[in-house]
Amino acid sequence: MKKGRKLLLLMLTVMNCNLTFAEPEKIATLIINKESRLHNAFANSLKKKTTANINIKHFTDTLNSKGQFLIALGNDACKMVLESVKNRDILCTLIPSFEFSRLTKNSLRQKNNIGAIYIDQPNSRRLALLKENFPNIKNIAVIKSASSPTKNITADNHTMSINSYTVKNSQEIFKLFAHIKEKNDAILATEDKLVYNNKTIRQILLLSYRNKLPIFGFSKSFVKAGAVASVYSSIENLTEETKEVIDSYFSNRKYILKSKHPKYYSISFNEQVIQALSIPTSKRANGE
Amino acid sequence: MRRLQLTLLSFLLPSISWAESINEDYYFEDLPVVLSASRLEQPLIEATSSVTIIDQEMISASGANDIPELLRLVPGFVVGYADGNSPVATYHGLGHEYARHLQVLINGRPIYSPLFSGVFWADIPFGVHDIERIEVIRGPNSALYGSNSFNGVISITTKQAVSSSKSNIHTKIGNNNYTETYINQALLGEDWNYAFTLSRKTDDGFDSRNDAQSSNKIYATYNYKPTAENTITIESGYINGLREVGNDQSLDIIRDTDIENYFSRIKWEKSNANGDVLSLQYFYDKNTSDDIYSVDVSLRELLEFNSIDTSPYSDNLLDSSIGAFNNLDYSIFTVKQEIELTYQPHRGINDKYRYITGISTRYDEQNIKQYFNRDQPISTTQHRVFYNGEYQQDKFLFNLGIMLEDNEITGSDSMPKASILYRLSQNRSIRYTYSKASRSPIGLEEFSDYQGNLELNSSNNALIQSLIGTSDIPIQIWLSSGGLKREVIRSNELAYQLHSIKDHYNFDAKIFSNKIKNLISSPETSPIDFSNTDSLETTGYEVSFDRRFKHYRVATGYSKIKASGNDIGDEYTEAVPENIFFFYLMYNRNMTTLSSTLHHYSDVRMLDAGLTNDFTYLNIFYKYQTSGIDKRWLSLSANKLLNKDREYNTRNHVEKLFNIEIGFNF
Repeated sequence: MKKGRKLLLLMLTVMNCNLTFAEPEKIATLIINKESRLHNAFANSLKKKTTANINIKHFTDTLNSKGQFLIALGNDACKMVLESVKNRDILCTLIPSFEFSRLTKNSLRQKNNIGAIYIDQPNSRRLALLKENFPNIKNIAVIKSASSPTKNITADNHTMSINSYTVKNSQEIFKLFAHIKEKNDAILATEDKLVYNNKTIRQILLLSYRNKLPIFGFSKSFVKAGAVASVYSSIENLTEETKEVIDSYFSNRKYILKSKHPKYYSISFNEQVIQALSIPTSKRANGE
Repeated sequence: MRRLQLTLLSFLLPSISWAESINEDYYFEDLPVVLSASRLEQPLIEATSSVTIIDQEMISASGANDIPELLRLVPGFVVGYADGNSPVATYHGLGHEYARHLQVLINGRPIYSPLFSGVFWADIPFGVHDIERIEVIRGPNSALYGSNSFNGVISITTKQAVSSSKSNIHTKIGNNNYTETYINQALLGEDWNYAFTLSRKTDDGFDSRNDAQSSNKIYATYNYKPTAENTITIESGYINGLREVGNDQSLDIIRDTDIENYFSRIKWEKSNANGDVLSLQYFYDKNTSDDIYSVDVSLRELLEFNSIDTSPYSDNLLDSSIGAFNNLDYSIFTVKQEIELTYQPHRGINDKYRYITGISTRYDEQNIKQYFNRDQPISTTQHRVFYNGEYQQDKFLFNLGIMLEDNEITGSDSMPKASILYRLSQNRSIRYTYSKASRSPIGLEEFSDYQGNLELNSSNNALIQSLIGTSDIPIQIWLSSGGLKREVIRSNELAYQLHSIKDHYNFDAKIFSNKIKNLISSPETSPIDFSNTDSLETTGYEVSFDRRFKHYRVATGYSKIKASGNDIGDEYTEAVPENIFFFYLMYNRNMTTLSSTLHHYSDVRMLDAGLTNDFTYLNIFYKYQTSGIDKRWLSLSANKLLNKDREYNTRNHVEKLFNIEIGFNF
């Protein structure tokens, strides 16, 4: 009887050991800038959503070997892991697609399993916002500087046309405005620090309002400042998708990380500006 | 276990291009709220008063020579000319050369004169071309704009460099020696912009009057944004000119007066990323004119003034000079200064409550030596506190506002306004509004001591002594006993509003009932004193419609007003026309614009000019404009095509006016 009990205990111990080996600890290391409120908000949101153990590291901290899966937030952290870390699985997020492309050109990506959830929206989604909600907008102006990081936008159908304007400096935007107004129904803002920055935004929005030429942004704050509408991904949108990638990663050890635009997004309309500019719209709703 | 040592080194030595790269903060950084609710037009179906907006399209296709002409496109407005250089605009009548029952604001700065309480439209240092938009509140709104916002509020917004980023020059000529030359320059920088206008205008006015004028105007606005949250606006204007005044009767001889006006406004505005707006504004406004003259007096004039029968005397004797009024000084001096602090927090998309609040202090100095019989100007101070809140609950919008005002003439008063609006659908609403507004007595009504000292020729002393009992003749014309109260209006409105963005039309209809008390009146006795003796009630309805089609625009308005009151000689009752109507049609295709305005009001008394007939105005305007940004244009306008022979008073013989204008952007 005693022998039988000892054998049973031994079997159980072996079984327990096997179980431990079958399901290793789910640890993901989130590399952030701890001084960034944005990064901290992301981390807090992600921790609430996922059951995985999230190990948070400042991007200049020393990394230990605990956790094979690294999630880097923002340009700096992503750059650091891509240039310095080997043999890990890396997901970059809160990073624009064009910056990620630039970083991965000369990185250690060959040795790593790398993916990204970009912060910016695909052009097709930006155009769909206009097409589905603002049926009268047919001719769209895109103003860029010569050093604009974004790719050219092309309309994928015959109902819209895109007119691109390249400017050398912000002063040129203001000079061009009358010409842009002649040819276009709206301006689609794209990421470009020379054209759209904290200083130029006031003149551009006032020009847009006074000339009755609606402007569509790329962030929620752009809408709040006075743009007609934006499609963007919020922190909640990005953490939701990150959580899904984490779940997939830990449920499938051979999971291949991909680089893609965010699956989840939000749309924000500025009803006051829509009313003030008398822009005809289809039925719409703010939301995610 | 191998540890991975990561250092900051690679980040401390970034390349320049990396430093300029776009990172996550670019998507989430707070931007200053530029188009806040305070700067945007409020949706018309949420407006708590009836509102008409005259936009840039209407302004540029109006053919108007003077700003009040544009108000013909507002339901309920009576527009006329007291003389060629004194346009008059009133809402629902009560017309006067210095119409006293409207508030007129230019970029938020009240421009009414403390002397007359009216607006010298001709003294505004810019013209029709400088106006971006006119917003007219049809009804009392002292709760937000203070006293004088009695029958309505006209809020004029001028063009900034952001709305006219091209410089332009134009010249306009017409009959009656009408000329206008105008040059405008606008420039935009990254954190500043400015617009600058120089213009000169001449106009001989009515053929039947001596009312020619010429003026030179400078107007400039400058906006500077030192930081993302702060904006500084400086606006200045200057006008000088020559104006022909008087008539060939009695003491008011024909003469030229020099006018000179200057104003400057500085505003600091701080708007944070939440959209809260704090603003501090100061303005200084000085108006002067030089008008001193002497006039001979005949025996006839003296006897008629004293109601003495002239029949016993020969014409030769009656028309002979018996003396003179020397150095009559009608020169105007007014200085206005105001400092105002307002705070308006942002209302988010889901916020149900929003408000604006503010305080202001205004200091006025005013003098016309002949009217006040004093060398030093009269100074008055006024303090205001206001609050206007709005609460949205489902389909209801509740609005409550109050203005507390204290001035040295009438003391303290409160002027409330309350409205309930119910949205029947996204495009339709019904509204009930109650408001109380007031008008403070002006300097002339409260302080006047207007007399003329007739200096007799020594040879006539005995004759005058025998005729009127004295040869010492200070003729007292006005003498205020003071202590006047505010004129008060209590207004009730029930309105239906329809606004379709998709189909480009607005419609509103309202029925109203106004009770006005303490109207200031002056009996036809000498010397004239002013007292709060009259009252007036007006009831009626008003409809307004404006629709844009692809190439057309139609706007029309009709007001039916019934007035009754307890007023001496029906002065005020007859100053309200029973019917006011306008119809505006515009056609715009390719490079051609054609428009016409028909404006009619029925029989009405102008308070300073007696009873007149009805008046119908018709204009036709044509404009050809090249396409592209460097536009060139030619316009022709024909005004007052259906006129009867009199306008405003019996002395103004109306004739058709024709203008041609050429201009170009550069």
